[in-house]
Amino acid sequence: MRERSDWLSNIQITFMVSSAIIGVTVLTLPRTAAELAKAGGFIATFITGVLMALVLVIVALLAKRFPNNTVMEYSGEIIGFIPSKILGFVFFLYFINVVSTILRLFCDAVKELLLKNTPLEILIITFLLAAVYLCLNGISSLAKICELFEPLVIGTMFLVILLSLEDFNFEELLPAFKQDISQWLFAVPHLTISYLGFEVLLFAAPYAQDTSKVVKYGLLGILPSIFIYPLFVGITVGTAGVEAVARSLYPTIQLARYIKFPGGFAERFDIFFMVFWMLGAYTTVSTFVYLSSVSITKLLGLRNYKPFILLIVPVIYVLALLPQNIKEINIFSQYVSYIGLALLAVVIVLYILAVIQKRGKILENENK
Amino acid sequence: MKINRKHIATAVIPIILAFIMAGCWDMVEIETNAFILGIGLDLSESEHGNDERIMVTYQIALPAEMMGSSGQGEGGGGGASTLNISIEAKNLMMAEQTLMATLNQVPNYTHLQVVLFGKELAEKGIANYIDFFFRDSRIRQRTKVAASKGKASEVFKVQPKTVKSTSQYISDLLDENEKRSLMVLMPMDFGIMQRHLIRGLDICLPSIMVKKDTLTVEGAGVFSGNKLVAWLTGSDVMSLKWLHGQPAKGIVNISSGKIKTGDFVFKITDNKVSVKPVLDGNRFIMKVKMDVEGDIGEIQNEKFNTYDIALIHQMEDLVKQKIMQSCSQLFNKLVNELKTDCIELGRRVENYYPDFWEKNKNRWKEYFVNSALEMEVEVKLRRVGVIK
Amino acid sequence: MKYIEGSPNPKNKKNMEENNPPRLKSEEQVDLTLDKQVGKNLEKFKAFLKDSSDMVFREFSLGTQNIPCALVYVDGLVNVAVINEQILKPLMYQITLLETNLNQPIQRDKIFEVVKLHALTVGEVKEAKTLDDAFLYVLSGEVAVMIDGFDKILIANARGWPQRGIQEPPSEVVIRGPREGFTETLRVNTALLRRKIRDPNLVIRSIKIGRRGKTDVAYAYIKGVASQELVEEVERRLSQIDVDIFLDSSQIEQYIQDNYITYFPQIEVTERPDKTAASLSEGRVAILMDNSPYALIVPATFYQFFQSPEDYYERWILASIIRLLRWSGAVLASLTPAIYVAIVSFHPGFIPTNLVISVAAARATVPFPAFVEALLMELTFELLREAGARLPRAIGQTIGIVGGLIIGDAAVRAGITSPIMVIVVAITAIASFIIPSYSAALAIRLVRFPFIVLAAVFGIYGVMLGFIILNVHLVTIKSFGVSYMTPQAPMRYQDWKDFFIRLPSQFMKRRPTSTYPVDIDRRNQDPVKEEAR
Repeated sequence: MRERSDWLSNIQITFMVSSAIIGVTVLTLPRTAAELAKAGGFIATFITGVLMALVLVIVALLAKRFPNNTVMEYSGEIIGFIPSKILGFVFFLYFINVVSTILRLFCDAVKELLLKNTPLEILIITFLLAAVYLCLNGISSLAKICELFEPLVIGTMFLVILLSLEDFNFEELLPAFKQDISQWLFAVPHLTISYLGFEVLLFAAPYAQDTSKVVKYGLLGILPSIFIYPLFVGITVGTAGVEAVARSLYPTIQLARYIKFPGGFAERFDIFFMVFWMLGAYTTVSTFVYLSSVSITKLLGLRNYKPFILLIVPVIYVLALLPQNIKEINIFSQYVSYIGLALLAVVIVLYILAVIQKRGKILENENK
Repeated sequence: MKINRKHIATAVIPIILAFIMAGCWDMVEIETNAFILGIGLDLSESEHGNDERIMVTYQIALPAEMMGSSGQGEGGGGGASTLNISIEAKNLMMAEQTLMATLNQVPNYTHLQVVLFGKELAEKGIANYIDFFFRDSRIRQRTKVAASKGKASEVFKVQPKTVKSTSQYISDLLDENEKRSLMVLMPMDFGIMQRHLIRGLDICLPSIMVKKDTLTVEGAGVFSGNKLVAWLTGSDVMSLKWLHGQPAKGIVNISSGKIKTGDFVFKITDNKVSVKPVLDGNRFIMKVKMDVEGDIGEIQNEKFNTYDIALIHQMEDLVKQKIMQSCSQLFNKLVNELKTDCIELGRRVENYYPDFWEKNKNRWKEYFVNSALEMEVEVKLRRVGVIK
Repeated sequence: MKYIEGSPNPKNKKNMEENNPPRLKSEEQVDLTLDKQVGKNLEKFKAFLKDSSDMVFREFSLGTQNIPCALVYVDGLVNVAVINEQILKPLMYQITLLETNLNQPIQRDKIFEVVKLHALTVGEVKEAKTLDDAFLYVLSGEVAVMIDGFDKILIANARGWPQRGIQEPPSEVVIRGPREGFTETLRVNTALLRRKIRDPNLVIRSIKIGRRGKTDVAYAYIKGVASQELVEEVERRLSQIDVDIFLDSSQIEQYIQDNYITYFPQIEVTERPDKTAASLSEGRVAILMDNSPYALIVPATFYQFFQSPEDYYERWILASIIRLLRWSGAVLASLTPAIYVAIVSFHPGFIPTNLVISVAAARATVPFPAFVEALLMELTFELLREAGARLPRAIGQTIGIVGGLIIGDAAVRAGITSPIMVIVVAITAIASFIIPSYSAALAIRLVRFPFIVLAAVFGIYGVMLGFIILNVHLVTIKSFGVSYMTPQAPMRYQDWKDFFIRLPSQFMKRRPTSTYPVDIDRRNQDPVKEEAR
């Protein structure tokens, strides 16, 4: 149980996965769920979560097979050199776009709710620089920050859920039980966006102390979101009704704004919520900044990723400012999530190929 | 040259400093804020061509006067502690612009307590002016909405003696006394309003009346769509709350010749209401089940003995009948006369019969006027006070 | 497996045992090697030491053969009674008596051994072969005995100098618990430690630090509990220090700590022997320095600065509540002014309406924006506090109260500040005194200034950004290989027993894992038996 400078303990793996998943999409999730699955949104969200957990298991198994390398390195073994480089490049693009999308979404929300007159560029740059500062200190620091902040984020979410129960009306969810299962399944593909993030396993597993437990701890990491997201959707719909949620731009914030502080010692609970949820957004952004710099480094075959962190800052900044309005941000994030899903599909294929070709570290059990 | 931490710091810190020096963009000192406590919307008197214009009355807090010289006590201070400014404009954002030209402080909506609609504007329709409140992110969702029986600006002119501002007065009243009095409608705030309007349901706003320097929040204004169609009295509101499914507490006044005690007052201490729509053929039956528990509040007769089981049962019966009667009265009025569904029947139908709602939600009114009420009321008289 | 990385002070690698050669005028140069003639040796001593009036040179004769001997010591550093009774008397008197009784003189070439083994009734006796060594001993309070015919010097321990008695440490006062504190004499301190841990595995090693100071520095650890790597790292860092003189252990701290730029201390400092002994039993290493009553304990994590010995002497529920209070104190001390600025200047919607009205009314007369007001008041408070520390005890307290109340009140009346700001400053001040460790309290208190600036620019977003950056910074600090924020990050659930709250003593069966102790169980062990196995 020694602490080498770059090793991650098992719990840190869990928190890294969890913090990469619980990012910014919790803001708009209830709207998507209500639009597509009406009152049954929360059931659809739960189903999506379970499915993504299965995908995570496959991803983790792939990582477990190659315990000392990141996916960039061993994909070459499985599918060949050129396809692996292409895959690596797609990963890089995906990560960069995730960072800029999340950054833009978050800073937009901050600008709308907290600081109306501050220029967006300033908000983006300060947030980005804070994330860069963390990444420059290595993956171990990143894991420790995730450990520090995630409990606060999850705690705040539970607090929001608890405090909203006062206005919760279970009647609003009744139609869910009369719905057809097809309606839920139809919503699933669009809801997967919120659960994306555990690609981090592919890059963090080599640093894990105990790679054999990656599956278990990765699964533990997605567990909070599988519970929190449906709860959120359910509570939002239960308090506001399906139409209101489907029409509202940031339904989670709406929910938070309606909450009364117990005892009334403060008024705008949404400010309080924003502040803690900033920690969640920060961990996600930092994780993906780290992933983008590591992926480009490995793509070029180099070892030190720290200079790349600084080099991609301007790229991310420009990308984040690219969407011109809310609708465009939505479109961007849709495309990014489709790429993410495609990548996951590729990873699943990688795993199947790895099993067929018998590559990677084969455990004793499998040999028997 | 290897890039180490010192180089990065040297590069980054001046950038950050430059930004910081550029200014604090959002800083508005608290005393330069004009806290708008209440907004009143009236139809404007003058006509500007065919444009409909409204008169917006802003009630702005004056902190210095509010605190008084010693900073304690909330007795009626000399001088007004709020400033009422009326501005005529086409919509709320234009009114805000004019306000900023009139006032030396920055308007701040984050402490908006109450929004009042004047009678004329309400009759004409409030849809055009509601959106501002829903869209703006600074406004608290729990701001109360009410309708006034006269002009909204008149309401703000009343200087209450127990608090420093009219808006606070109304807001406190709606918060606290709504639970205790059956004449006060449950407060409608923007969150609830938004939900109803999206569904196409109708709303009822508490109504405010100004009589010679006193404010009364009694009764309700019924809106069909976004137009005010009728006023309900205090006693109507009682049944309205029950039909809504609100466990409303208050009193029931029984004056009947049938009982030897004469007139008496039944005070409700506990109340459970459940409302369920049931589809019967082509129409809906609203099944209301009420469990009421209460005490005797006041008896308008000197000599008698309430310590008598038969008498208690008789009283319970009378109360039960009174409740059922007033509820059906109101229900019929809503269904037949006013044709407005402000008891959220539509919402319940949506929840219990979602398929039906999907198909027919645009024709809900037709079904609503055909619905019937079925009530099951249980009244229990528990205590009689401290004397027999 | 090595887990401690990096070495501070990479430049000073010379062995500090090298002495500065003493400088003498060319005509007075003497050979540093010892002579067999006592007269010549004494001359060599005098060549260096004769300018000081507190040096004593005593020549005397030994035995019936009248062997010339000499004694050198520093007056004031020695216990004269020991010299008189146990060194001079046996040498001047007993040897003669012995020779008379035996009726034969002792052989001259054996006299050294006889003196050392039979005559000097002193506990600690050493031999010095060079003048350098002899100087060191003499200047440390020992007595140099030169006997004619030998080129080595006997060093006898007769130390005794004026020292402060054992008092309660003024900076760490507890209501319940021992009231002993370390003093400036190393031997006394090690004795206090030994009294608490009577385990033969308690090892106290000594080295000397400083070319001219040659101060004794001892580091103590319990063999079999402290990790070997930690001990070796401590040794390595201590031996790399190359300085002139050290006056206090805090100077050692500045040389051996991992990160000298940050606000936050990475080594725990205490005056209490009970705290030191407790840390030793957790597997940490204590460093004691002669002339300093402060012991250094390595490694230290951030959360240790919130622990006070009182937590362990009181009941666990009460101690847990007090500890939670300390945590809130730390948060209040660093964030309150910033949150005040953020709310007042950026988000007045956050507080209830009545409060907003009263704050706005209170601030109506104040000419400055909130953050200028906050900075002014906080700076004034820091000035007052620092000024109060310099004044004698009685006046210092009064100034603090006078400053706080009256000046604050006057400022409010003059319209320079609002009463709310005075309350904020008072809360910050009181909260910062809750933290037991002075250096950590200082760090936490001074960190609020950057927060105020951030709050002034970005409001609550800035405060949160500052919080994030502070946490990132804290997480990257390591103290002797242990992450600064253990046990929160990396998470070690076993150590949470003593983290936010203190669980009952019955639960504390194992040592905390953050320092990788070799022997993890506190109970069911017998150290002597295990050693013998």
